[in-house]
Amino acid sequence: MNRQELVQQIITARETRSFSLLTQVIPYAELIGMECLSVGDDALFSLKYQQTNIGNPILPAIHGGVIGGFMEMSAALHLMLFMDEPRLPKIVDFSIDYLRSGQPKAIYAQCAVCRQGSRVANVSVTAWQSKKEEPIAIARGHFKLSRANAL
Amino acid sequence: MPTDEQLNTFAGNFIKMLPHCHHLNMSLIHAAPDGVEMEMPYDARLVGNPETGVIHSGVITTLMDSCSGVAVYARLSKMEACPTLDLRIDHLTTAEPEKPIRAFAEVYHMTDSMVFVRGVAFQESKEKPFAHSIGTFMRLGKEGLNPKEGRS
Repeated sequence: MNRQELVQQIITARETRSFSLLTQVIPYAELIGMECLSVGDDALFSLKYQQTNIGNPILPAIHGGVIGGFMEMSAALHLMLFMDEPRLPKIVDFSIDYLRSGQPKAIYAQCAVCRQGSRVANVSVTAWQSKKEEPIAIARGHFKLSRANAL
Repeated sequence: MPTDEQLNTFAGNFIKMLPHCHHLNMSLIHAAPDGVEMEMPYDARLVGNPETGVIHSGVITTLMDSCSGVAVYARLSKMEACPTLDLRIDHLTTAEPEKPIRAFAEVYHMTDSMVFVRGVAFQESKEKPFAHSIGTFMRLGKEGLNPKEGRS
């Protein structure tokens, strides 16, 4: 997939609100079982349960890295979908606080852009399973933004 | 205290027992109380950028979390449940496609209740990392191995 096709996919996902068009073209999103739904004006990211995502087989619990990867991907897709214009975010750093173990069931995540400048965006992510009020992890990350004219 | 060989055998088998690490074909290079090195092959399933073929940053998070966890075990030299409290990854640059990725993690401070771990991810050499990680793990003691006493 070249840059042009990728950007076109982002534009189509934004216009049709078929957000899973993006997760479908990213192999890692498919591998971990990630989807993205349009909910009201926002996006809801989900990670279906699959045995291959387990990190601790004794508890059992979902691998903390998968939870982190899911949240990073959510943050990047959130930016692609909701920035003023379609731009490509590149991760700079990501910090995750694990609050509860990931039970063997679906995980959901929502993001908030704390600040979008011309070069960098700061995004926070909340991930939960049973109730959003009881998050299993919270995270925040910085993303470098490609200039729109570079597309 | 386990011997160097026992530690490496146990840590190597331990990684294969973790379903997601096994799914990503992670393997142990070397485990010692002062640091652990692991490797993960390049795999098209891990791609995060379909334009460049670069693997997704979340895969690095998974590798660093796993390597840090094994480093905690290697330092403690006994089974003790130590969930990750927090983890931060700094992406200095991107990993090159088609090449395996290595991780090195070391415990730099430990108390009765906490373990502090730092690490790097690299391809050519440990001196030229493309990512840094820093994480805090909580020691739950032996009781923590009981599933009912888990993090939830």
